[in-house]
Amino acid sequence: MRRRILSLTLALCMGLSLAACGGKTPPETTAASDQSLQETTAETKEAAAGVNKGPVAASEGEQKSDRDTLIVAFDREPATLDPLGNNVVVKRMIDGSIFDTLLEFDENLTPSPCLAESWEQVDERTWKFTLRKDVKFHNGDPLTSADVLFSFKRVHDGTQGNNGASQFDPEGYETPDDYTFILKTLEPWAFTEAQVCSEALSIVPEKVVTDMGDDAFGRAPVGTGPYKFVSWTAGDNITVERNDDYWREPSILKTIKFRIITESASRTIDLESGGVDITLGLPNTDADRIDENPDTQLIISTGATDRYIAFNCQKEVFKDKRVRQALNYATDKEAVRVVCYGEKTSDVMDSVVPNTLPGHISDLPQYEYDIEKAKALLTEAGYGDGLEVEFMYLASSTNNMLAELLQQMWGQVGVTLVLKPTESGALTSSLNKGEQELCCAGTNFEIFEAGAGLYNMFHTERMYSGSARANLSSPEVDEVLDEIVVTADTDKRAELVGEAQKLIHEESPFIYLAFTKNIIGASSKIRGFVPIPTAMYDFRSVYFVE
Amino acid sequence: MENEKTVFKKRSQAREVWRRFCRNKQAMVGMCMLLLLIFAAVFADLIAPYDPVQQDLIHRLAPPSAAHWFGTDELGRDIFSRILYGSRISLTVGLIAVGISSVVGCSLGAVAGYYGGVLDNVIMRCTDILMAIPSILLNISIVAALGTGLQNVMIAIGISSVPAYCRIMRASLLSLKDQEFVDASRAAGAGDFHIIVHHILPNSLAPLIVQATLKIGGAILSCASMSFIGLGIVPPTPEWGAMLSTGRDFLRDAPHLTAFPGMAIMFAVFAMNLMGDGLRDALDPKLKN
Amino acid sequence: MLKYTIRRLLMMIPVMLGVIVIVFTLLYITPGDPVDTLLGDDATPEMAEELREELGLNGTYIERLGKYLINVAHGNLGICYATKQPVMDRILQTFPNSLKLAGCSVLLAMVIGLTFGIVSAVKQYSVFDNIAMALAMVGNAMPNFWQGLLLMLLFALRWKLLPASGFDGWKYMILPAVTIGTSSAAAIARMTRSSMLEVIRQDYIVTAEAKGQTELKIIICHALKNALIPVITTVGIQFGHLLGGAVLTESIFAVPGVGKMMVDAIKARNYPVVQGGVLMVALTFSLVNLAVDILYAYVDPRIRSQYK
Repeated sequence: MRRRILSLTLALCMGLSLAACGGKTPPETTAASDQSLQETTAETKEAAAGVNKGPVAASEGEQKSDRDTLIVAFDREPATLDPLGNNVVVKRMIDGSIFDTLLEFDENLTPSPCLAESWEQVDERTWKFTLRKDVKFHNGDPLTSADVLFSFKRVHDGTQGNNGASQFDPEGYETPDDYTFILKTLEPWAFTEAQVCSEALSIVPEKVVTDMGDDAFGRAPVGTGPYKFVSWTAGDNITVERNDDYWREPSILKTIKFRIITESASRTIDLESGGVDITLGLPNTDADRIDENPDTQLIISTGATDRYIAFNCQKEVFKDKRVRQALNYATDKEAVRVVCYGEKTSDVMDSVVPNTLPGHISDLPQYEYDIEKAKALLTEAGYGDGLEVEFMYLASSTNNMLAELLQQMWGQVGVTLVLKPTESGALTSSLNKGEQELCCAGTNFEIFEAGAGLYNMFHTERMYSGSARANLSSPEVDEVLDEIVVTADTDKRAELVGEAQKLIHEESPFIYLAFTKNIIGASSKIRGFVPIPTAMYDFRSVYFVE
Repeated sequence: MENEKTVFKKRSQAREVWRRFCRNKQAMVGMCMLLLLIFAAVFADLIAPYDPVQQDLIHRLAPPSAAHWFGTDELGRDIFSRILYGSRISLTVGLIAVGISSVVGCSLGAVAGYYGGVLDNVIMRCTDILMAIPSILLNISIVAALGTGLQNVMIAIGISSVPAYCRIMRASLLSLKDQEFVDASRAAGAGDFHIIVHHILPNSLAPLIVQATLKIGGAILSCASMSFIGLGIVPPTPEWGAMLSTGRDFLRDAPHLTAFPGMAIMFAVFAMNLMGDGLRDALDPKLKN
Repeated sequence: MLKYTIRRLLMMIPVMLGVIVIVFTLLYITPGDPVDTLLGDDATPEMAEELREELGLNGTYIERLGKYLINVAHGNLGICYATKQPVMDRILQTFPNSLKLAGCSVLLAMVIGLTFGIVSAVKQYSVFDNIAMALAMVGNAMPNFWQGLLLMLLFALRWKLLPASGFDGWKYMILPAVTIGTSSAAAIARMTRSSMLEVIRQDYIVTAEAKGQTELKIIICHALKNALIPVITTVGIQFGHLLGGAVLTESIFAVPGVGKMMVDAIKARNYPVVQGGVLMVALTFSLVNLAVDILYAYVDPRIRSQYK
């Protein structure tokens, strides 16, 4: 029913990942209905050919090495490995190697079978999943529907702030037999399949969790995934080992050591000096050098992350749409993108929906850099004599650059930007209370459904929550968003998502800065790494060459 | 009569110290470096070839050249100009932080040493408490509580080095308060405050001056550390530590972003340390032949 | 001597109490709510309220402080908000690393500092003296994190001699220890030099010289022993400060130490970890100071007699 858009995205993403392989030809693009989408595909592919680096497959004449430990460096330590814990990217990735979910996103960001070998929608609110029968947890126990039921129920009872199951009916789960699981949503909900892919709904063994308790389980998790948890040295590394009984193709390498190196300069140096094999979250300033260095390779995958300035639409000065639009005109977004996010490591942001997701539209009339227009709008809004606004942001060097750029640009239209770099603890609290006038933020479309992301970012319901930094409250936008979440038909939904983007764009709650990509540095000896847009890398196919 | 005499004596003592100071080559080097810094700070607007906050994105990350002696930074600002203006910030941080800690520390130390007893005990335990907390953690906590910004950074650095002055002041008070000239003054009817300010303070100045000079360098370094953690000054203030810590993202491709601010910090701290050592030697002639 | 030690130990109680109160108060007035950091972006206000209740964040200042003090008196430092482990466990995971690192760098600093200091004092105003003191000053004047990165570039990347970051054996210890050690070495060298200079002019040294003893013997047996006292203080203080204060070096070299843990905890408003960590560091610092004072007594009989 949603084949067309899917195949389109498939083509798009294959284009991206295969361009990385070099040599292989991307599959034929299926006829696209929407002109703009076709353009995007072409554009992205072109960009991809120039940017995506890193051989995924070994070229001829390369000898497979017998090294079997992979060291992966990343920037922050998760508090817990419990799938329910605070959803940081790092944790999602490690959890992805320890746990499996009922469904998973394939490389086209489409839900596909994982622990559930098949599934069907029984009625508007009911979904039935049939589990694989050959899956065992790391402790040897077989996976049954009881574990699935337990894993879903946990999310409702959890106190760790995960509302991944908020749309599901806690009383509606059923397990008619050991391998069938039925879930009901509270209302008809379009994102059920995508949500089931989310890492919060990873399947955990009921017996083990009950015996250990949630907290201990989070420090020594047991799942069904391709790797078994081995050890966690606080502040230093988390080590996992190949699960030889994995129900799919097991990993080539035996051990993966996830090392925590918070300082980005050190992380890059460690990659170049051979201390780590893969560095995630490479600073964009290091990208070129990693690319040119014969010992290392640069791998870039297009993600689903927005970077933007969010006006707090509830503050008096920004209640006026004209002020928001004026500042949008006063910002040279391309300069900001190139300086802060890297020319090659980010894409031009032309809508709130990332260009990797279905429903993205690229024909919005952009707020081009235009000082005169900005001045005119400001005068119209009654701020012709100048205006002082405060920019609250997380103190980091990229954000400092962004702030300094904005300060200079806006100075030219008479807007004094007061900078307020804030450390993370105070920032989150202030933002949750809506104390800021404007802030910068990034949104990662976690379940790769544009509609779900937009709902969290712009619906009045979600004001003052973590994703809704603009605190926009617009009845028209709400109406479309409400319709999106109950629209099961993918094409129809994509259309509505397009409409929502237009409405939101007109409201100008954001200044679009960039779609940032996932930048990965790897040793030149690494093969088989697939840079998927979900950033939940599957390390099973990774190996070393001599 | 008496006043004149002390003034005369003091002046000759100062002259003696100055003479010893001038003979010390290292101290003279230190002083010249410091004078250079002060000169840069005072005349920054006249010497600096560019506006320190004016961005020029086309010429960002340019290596040192005739147009930009120290190159340009990540936003195309002239690093040489920023360093010059930065000397103002760094000297201010150093002086004010040390000012806060020496005034607070000396007053507390004087009170503790002069009155003794319970007051002394309480004050000294308080300094023990402050000493027991690593200063960088104390700085971070204070700035986190007060908010980022130059002013709060100076307060934090000032507070965390109070104990040192407190101890020095107290120690010299203890050794001085029973000496004859203090007794004499008290017999002549002088009040406590008068005695502390006019008799004891001048006589315990030497170690305080040395400590203060050495601590200015320390304060500049602490400020740089705070910038590294992201709790330093608010951009675009050209503070050396902030320049250094922003530059670390470009450590490899544009080393001039870190090299010049780093050297500037070293230069300032070096100057202060040389001065401090020179002063110590000059004020405490026991160490000299 | 024992009495003195006991009295000093007792005096540490109010100091530790003060440390707790200061840190608690600072964290209390710091804006920001741990709940906001702990919960994900999509948490609802109800979840936040529930968690706040669970963590006991709703009490008044006095209630919370009182509760914390009672817990500490029972040897309970609380539970880490983020990992839900006992704070003591978290400290025990990181503290030994910092201890090792601090020990290593102080040892290094002492070897370098004492050597440079002694030679400088004996050969005062020689070329060596000038170079050594200049080096000491450079060591003192260089921002630590910059120095660390430069060392890493040279030794790990350019020459590939040492691992760049991590904490997995003695090889990993060298670069961070050198980074931290240089400024301590500089302090110790300067202290040794001036203290030696003072001692060398004392009568008994002149006597020993007059007796015709060799210079080396005089330096080792007579001068050094007496010059050590202020040096011991410096070493003690340096060691104490390095324990929790090597935050930047721990960050740069990815050393899982207690300082970095505490800074991360401050940023996340993870109150129990900050309080517990600072308390442990302060306690160690005080104990090291006590040890230094007791050591004095062994080095200097004059001080020993005062304790009796």
